[in-house]
Parts: sequence; C-alpha cells; structure tokens
Amino acid sequence: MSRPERVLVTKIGFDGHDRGSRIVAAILRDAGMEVIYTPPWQEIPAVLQLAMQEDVDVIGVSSLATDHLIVPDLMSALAEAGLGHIQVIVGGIIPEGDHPMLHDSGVRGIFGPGAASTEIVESVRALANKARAARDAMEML
Amino acid sequence: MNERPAPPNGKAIAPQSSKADLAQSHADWEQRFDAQIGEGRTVTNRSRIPVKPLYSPLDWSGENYAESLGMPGEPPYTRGIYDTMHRGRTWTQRQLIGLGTPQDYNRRVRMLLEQGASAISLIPCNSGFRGIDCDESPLALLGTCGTVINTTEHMEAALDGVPVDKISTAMNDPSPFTLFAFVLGVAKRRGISWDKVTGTANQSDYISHFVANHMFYRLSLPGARRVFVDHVAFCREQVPNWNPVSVVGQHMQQAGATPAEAMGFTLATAIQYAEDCVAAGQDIDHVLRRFTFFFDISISFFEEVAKFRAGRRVWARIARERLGAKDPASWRFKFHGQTSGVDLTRQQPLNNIARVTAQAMAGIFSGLQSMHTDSYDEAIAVPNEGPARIAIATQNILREEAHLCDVIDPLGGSWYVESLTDEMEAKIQDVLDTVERAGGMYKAVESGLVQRMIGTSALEHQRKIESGAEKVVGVNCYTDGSTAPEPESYRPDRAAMEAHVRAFRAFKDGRDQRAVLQALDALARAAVGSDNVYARVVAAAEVGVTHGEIIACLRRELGFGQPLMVA
Amino acid sequence: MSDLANHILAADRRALARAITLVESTRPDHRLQTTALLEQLAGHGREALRIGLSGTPGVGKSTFIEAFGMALCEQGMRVAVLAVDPSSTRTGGSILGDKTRMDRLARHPNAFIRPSPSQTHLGGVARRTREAVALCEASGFDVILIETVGVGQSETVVAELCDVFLLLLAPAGGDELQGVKRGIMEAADIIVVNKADGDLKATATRTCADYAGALRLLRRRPQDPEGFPKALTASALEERGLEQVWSEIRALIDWRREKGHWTARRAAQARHWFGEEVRRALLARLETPAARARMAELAEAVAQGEASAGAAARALLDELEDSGARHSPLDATQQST
Repeated sequence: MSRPERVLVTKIGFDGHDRGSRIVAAILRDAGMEVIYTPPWQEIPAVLQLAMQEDVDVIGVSSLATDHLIVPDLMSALAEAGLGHIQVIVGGIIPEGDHPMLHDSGVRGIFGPGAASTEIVESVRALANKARAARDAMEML
Repeated sequence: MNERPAPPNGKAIAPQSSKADLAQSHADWEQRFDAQIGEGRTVTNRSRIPVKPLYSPLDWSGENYAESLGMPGEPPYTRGIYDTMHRGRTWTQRQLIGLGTPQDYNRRVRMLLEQGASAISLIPCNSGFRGIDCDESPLALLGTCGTVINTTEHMEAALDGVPVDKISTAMNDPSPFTLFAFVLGVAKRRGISWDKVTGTANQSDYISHFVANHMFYRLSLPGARRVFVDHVAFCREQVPNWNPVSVVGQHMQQAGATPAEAMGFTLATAIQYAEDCVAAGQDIDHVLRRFTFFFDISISFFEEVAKFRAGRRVWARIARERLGAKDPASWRFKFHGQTSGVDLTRQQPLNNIARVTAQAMAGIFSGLQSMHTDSYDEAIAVPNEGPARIAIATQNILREEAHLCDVIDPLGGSWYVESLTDEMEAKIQDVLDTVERAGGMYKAVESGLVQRMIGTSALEHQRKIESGAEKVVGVNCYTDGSTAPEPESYRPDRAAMEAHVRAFRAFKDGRDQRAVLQALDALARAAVGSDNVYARVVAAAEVGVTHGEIIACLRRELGFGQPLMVA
Repeated sequence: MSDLANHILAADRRALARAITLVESTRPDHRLQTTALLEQLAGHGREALRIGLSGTPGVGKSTFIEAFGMALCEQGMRVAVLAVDPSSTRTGGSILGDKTRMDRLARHPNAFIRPSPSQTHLGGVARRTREAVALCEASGFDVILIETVGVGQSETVVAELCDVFLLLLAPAGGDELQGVKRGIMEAADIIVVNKADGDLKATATRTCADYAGALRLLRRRPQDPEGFPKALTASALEERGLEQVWSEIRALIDWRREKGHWTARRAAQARHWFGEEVRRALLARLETPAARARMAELAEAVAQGEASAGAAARALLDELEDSGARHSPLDATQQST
C-alpha cells in the first residue's frame, strides 16, 4: 500500500504498564503501518490534538487497569472535535461486563491478552479503510 | 544436536576408567535417543539457554561443592541464606491488596490476617501512583485498582485495629515514600516507637520504575536518586528495623526481560544503589544489611529455581568483593517472590490456579523469604475475595500437605539444576558486564540501553507464543472454544467514594494552613539544599500535607519524572 | 479552488493535517492531487520565517524546540514544527514517538507538530518536507521550525529549505569540538550551546567561547551582517536565553531583508529545488522494472565485452527516450549524475 495506515497507539488514565502498547506498536509497524506512539497517562485533549495533527485513521487505546472506563469520554470528545471518522479500538484487560458499554460508545474492537497479531493487524487495516472512506465522504475532500 | 561440550566444572570425580565408561554409555544413549527422536525439537529456555534432554555427572559432578554451593547459611549462599531455611521459619505470606476507600481496605486486610497472613501490604489507587490526590482524579477511576490514601488520616482508617508494631508491612510506595510517612504518623499518634515498625519499602527501586514500570515513576531520575539516598539515611537513623531498599527485578521481567536479564539488571541496580549510599557517606555493611530484593516467579520452573540460586551466589560475590562488605550477613540475598501475572491467561481463568501452583513451587524450592501468590482472576480484574482466598490456600497446601518445606534446597545436587544454575550464572554475569561497560546501571538506563534490551526480549517471547513455539494452554493450544464465566470485576461503591472525596476536601479546608505552608516550604528548601529531604516529607505528612501536595512540591524542585520512550 | 485548499487557507488544522498526509503518499493519483493542490495554493497565505534546526544526539533538541516554540506561541505567533528524518530508513512502517517529548507544545492551540515518517531516499524526504512547508505557509503559520533527526546528510537538505539555520550543541570539552563537521558549521547562522544549566553552566560558557572563536576563523559570508554567524548559550530546561536567540534571529532576518539577501536566498533555493526535481524525475525513469532489467542486460553485455560502455549507455538512453516521448530529450551528460 503506497499510503500506509496511520495509527495512534496510546494510553489514557493512570495506568503505566506499557508493555502491551509497545508490542502492539511494533507489530503494526512491522505490518507496514505508520504508528504514532505515546507514553502512558495521556489526557483526552492531548489525544485529540495528536490524532488531528497526525491525521490518524485508527486510535488504539491500551488499558490494563480499568482506564477503559474513561474511553467513552474519549469517544464523545472525538465526535465533538469533528474527528468522528477515526476508528477506535481498545486492547488489554477489559472485563466482559464492560464490553457493551464500550461498544455502545462507538469502540470498534476489543482485544484481550490472547489476541493474535494477525487478528489485530487485519482489524486495524479494515478499520483504517473504513476511516478513510468516512473521511473522504466528509465535506472537504 | 546436543553436542555441546560439558561445562568446565563438569569434571567427574569418579576414577578415570569409570568416567570414560560413563562418557561411552552417554554417547551410546545419545545415539539411540537421536535415532528414535529423529528430527527432534531443540528446547531453549526463556534466558536463551539450550536445554538438553538428559543431564548426568558429565554435566555436573559436585567437585566444587564447597566453593560453589556450601551449606545453607554459608557463603556463597547458593543453597539458602539461613541455616534453618524453611525448616525453621517458612516464608512470610504477603498478599498484595488494595481497593476502594480506606474502610474497604481495612475490612479486606482484617480478613486476610484472620486467615493466617503474617504480614500486610498495600496497593494505592492508580491516581496516587500518578502523584495526584483523589479530588483531582476522574471519579470513575478512583479505587478501582487500589486504595485511595492521601493523608495520615486516611492511613489511620486503613490500619484501624491493625497492630502496626507487631506486623510487618510492605507497601507499593514509590519515591518519595508518602505512604510510609503516613504509617509513621499513625505510629506516632498511637504512641508506638518507630523502632517497632518493621517491613519493607517494596517500591523504592526508582531505576526499575524508570525502565519498566512507568506507573510508579514520579520524580526525575536525579531527583529520585537524591530522595532514595536520603530515605535510606533517614531509616537508618529513625526506623532501624525497616528495610528501606527493595530492588525490584519483577518490573523488568514483567516488561519482557528474560529471567537472566531480570536478575542481571537487578543486581546491577543494587550495585548502583549501594555505591550511591556509600558515596553519600553511609557504611556499606549498614546499607547492605537492609537490602532486599523483589522478583517475579515465572512458570519456567527449573529456570526460575536456577535464577534464584545463581542470583544468591553472584550477589554474595558482588557484596563481598566488589562492594567490600565485611559482615557475611550483608552478603545475604533476601528476596520476596511474586508469582508472575504475565503467565496468567484470561482464557479458561481457573487454569491459572494450576499455573500459580507451579510458580509458587518454583519460589519455594528457590528458598524465598516472602511470597505473594496471584489470584486466578488477576488477568481479568482486580482480585476478588474468593480468588484471593484460594491464592493463600495454595501456599498453605504446598507447605502443609505437599511437604515442600521438609528439606532445604531439595533440588540441589540435581545434575540438571546445578548445571543450569551455572549457566544462568554465566548469563547473569554477561548482563552485569554489559551494564558495566555502559558505565553502570544509572547511565545504562539513561541512555536507553536496558530498555532496548528488554524490548527485544519482550517481542521475541511474544513471537514465540504466536508461532506456537511457546505453548500457552487455552490460548494457542487446547483451546476448547468455551468461555468460562468471568468473575465479577470489582468496582468500589460510587456513593462511598464520593463521600470520601468530599471528606477529603473538607479536611483540606480545616487544616492548620500555616503549618501546611511552612512544612511545604521546608520541604522545598531541603530539596534544593542539603537537609534530608525525606525527614521533611515525614514532617509534612504529620501536619496534614497531602500526598499530592508533597509530590507536586518535589516535582517542582527536583523535576518531573518523564520516562524515556524507547520504541 | 478545491474545498481542501479553501480550508487550508482558512487555517483549518484538520485540513492541513490531511493535506500533509496526501503529500506523504506515493500513490500516483495522490501525487497528482498534491501537485494540483500546491498549484492552487501558490501565491496565497503568507511567507513564514523558516528556521532550520540541527544538533547532535543528546543535545536536548526536543526540549529546546518545545521551550522555544512555547515562547513564540505565547507571544501570539503560530508555530509549525516539521522534521526531516532520513536516518532510520526501513522497509514498511515506522514508529513516531518523538513528538511526545514536546508534550506542552503539542497541546498549544497555536502550534502544529508533524514529524515525517522516514522514507527510503533523501530525495523523497526533501520533497515531502518542502511541500509540507508550502502547506504550512498557505495555512498562515508565522514560524516553521524544520528539525533534522539524526546526524548525516539531512542538514544540507534543511539548509536549502530554511531562511535561518540554527545549530544546537551541547557543552563539551575541546576534543568534542572537533567532531562537528565543517560543512555543518559553515551552514550555521547561529550556534546555540544548550544545557547551560546546573553543573554544566561553566562548561557551556567555555564551549560557547570556543565556538565563537571557531566561527571567526570561517570565511566571511556576504549574507551576514557584522558579528554573524554567532554563538550563544541557552538553557531550554530552565527556559533561559531563548529570548536572546529570538532577538538575534530577528536582527539577522531584518538585515537580510533590507539588503535583499532574503529574497535572493529564497530565489536560489527555488532554483535549486527545481533542478533537484528535474534530476530526480530523470533518475526515477531508470528505476522502473523494465529499465532496470534492460540496464542489467546491457551491463552484462558490457561485462562480456560484447558492447562498449558508451555505446550501451547510448542505446539505453535512446530506448528510454522513445518510451517516454512526452519528456524532453535526455542529454548525454545527465546519465553521469
């Protein structure tokens, strides 16, 4: 693909365990994508700025310690900022009981600790295409 | 395959003729083995050491018993650091817990004490790890992963009815050790003298936080270094039975370091800390006697046993030869082991009980001094009460029913374990040499060298799991497609947490504001001057300065802790 | 004019971000869109001050850019940060983690940071950066900081892109002074010795004096007023010395504008990039699978003594010319570039 997928891999909230997000970043890079990687503890406004300036297609949020509970806040902030075309996935330790809440907020994929690289790569690729289609359908292109 | 020459110390003590016989019969066996196995798979452990299908006196003969093993309680302590080991006193059962409000924590801790836990621990809320108080945090995240403790008052409630002078305490309390300051405040209020306070500052290892557990990383590298040295000096003076240093290999191994790397980096870190304290004028024997270590115990059973046996031997040598400690007691490698959460799976979660059992056995055979066993729901949620009970019972069963403590170092003398111990020692030494060439651990982490090595190992292990080279039951093999019902995830009571935050705000408004400002001013001046910074932290906590205020002040004066991102 | 162009001119940062993604793409239809877009935007927007920034690893470049950029933003200026990174070329994707070290600046409403992914050849990186600069100017940025990542060839690219070239150096002993390449020293308008704080303060002052001395030994350039190029100390960490860096830049620029050097430099750069663009396009024609195969074939013939190098080259060029009839004829000397 001559225009690689652009993916923001980040962590919001308080947790600092970033082994998972690093591994996922490396996997996506090796699959040919351009990965914008942040340290943990990003605040939602900072994630919005990054996503906008970097023109990303997909945001991957890693959560190992309940930080996924504020992902719905990120989703509504994205919509408000006119970045609703960006597709969001969440990875890490997400109790099943919280899955409906995340799906309802617009999260497109949830990946647990056993998820295979290929599964993640394929999903990100499909979502990036979707994001681009949605973006191109928006007013300016 | 398997044509590796025997290690140098593998010289048989048997007479020449029988050694030749042995070599011959081994060669014969190898031929039969190869013929039957065919293109047999090669096995390599996590530390990248090839593992043979059979070990014999050709690999390890026990010739250097006195120098390389010795008796328990005898340098180099390979077989254990005390004469009686688990026959005399078994390990401390220390379960890490933390959740909700201080009152929630108090209920859980009393339950564990009733069940035979001999020490307590405390995990604070993640907002606390980030260095902020509860009134600045999203309510949704408060208390979901740890207890919200921001003041001495909160600690008082958390330890209500817990005899802090009779029980050993360990807290996930990174620099600048505010929780410990709150405990000292509680002791003072109860009229307990500080020399009765025992336990370990089990997150004092700022280097491991900078490298591998960014969660705990709060102050800049030089700032944390300063507070570390002052904290050790303060404890030596004021709280002599407290262990101010716990060097944590766990974070690095959890971040993906191989067991040998985790041990090597940890020992290199310990060297750095010891030398920093000596440079600040402290006595090496005083410093080392209060050193403790904290490790992950992975499910790579024999490798873990060899890791700890080799680690003890290397540390005794470092303490004695490199650091120049005179007292054999300072050469002892005292460690707490925690069964590794990384090995636990979300799939078929009850299987984790079996994993934790194997990990705990490795820990016990390694001669640990203190242990935490993970709850089987660790990979899914903050441990619930039921799973936490099973985790403790696992230790009790292994000790009481399986009789694992009857014999000291029961795997010692195994050709395999001894030969693997030697090989792990060589790997650990390689890591130590690499760090030494980089100018010591502080410099090696500042430049990102250690982070890059760990990153490489993490990716390598992940690839092994994905390719199926490393099997994980229920994940890449024996997947039955069934989804076991997930345990309930713990969420603190929202109303109680709101009330807790309200009460905290009211407390702040009602404090002696002048005393607070004075204490913060003294803290700031100590940070840029030469006063003991930690003494000022303790003094500030006593007059009601909060966790977030203390950290904000030190971050201003000593620099904000920004970990190095090595992609 | 297209919607995208209108949004860029209206300073819509989302539109700018999208246009840069377009610029980064190598897909032929995207290239065409990019050319059309730049065509539409030419002559609009504003002429920003382009500041090139280079420095040895560990000099605190990100910290400097963050502190410097913040200071400009606080004065009400709009600041864009672009990066040229040809050093870490690899096939496939890349990880961009650099930006996160400019946490505060990244969040400032007046700032826009967009480090480019690495690409396989310097020419591609240069063109992309040049086009991104043009987009930022169209979008009304006052200052564009163009940072080089890593050390090596990229400095010369940046020097050909900027109005002022800053070289960031760390306090160091005399031996390390020699490590700075002469070419880079010669391109620098201002040398900033960063990390003039804490224990390093005295060393920084000494290093600065050493560099000032070294600069005086260089040949005087016509585009410099008295006293330039010059060396300064600063501490990005403590945010000291940054105002002075800014006022020296202003003084230099004002003088150059007044004396006509500014316009002359931009004109020379435009000519340079035009030439580069032509050369690149020509070389690209040798990179098609057919051309490569043919070249290998002819090379083999030359190696076997079946054809002379000159004749084989002429044959290849003739064929290329035929296949690309819409291009202007190749001149024989072109092949040697």
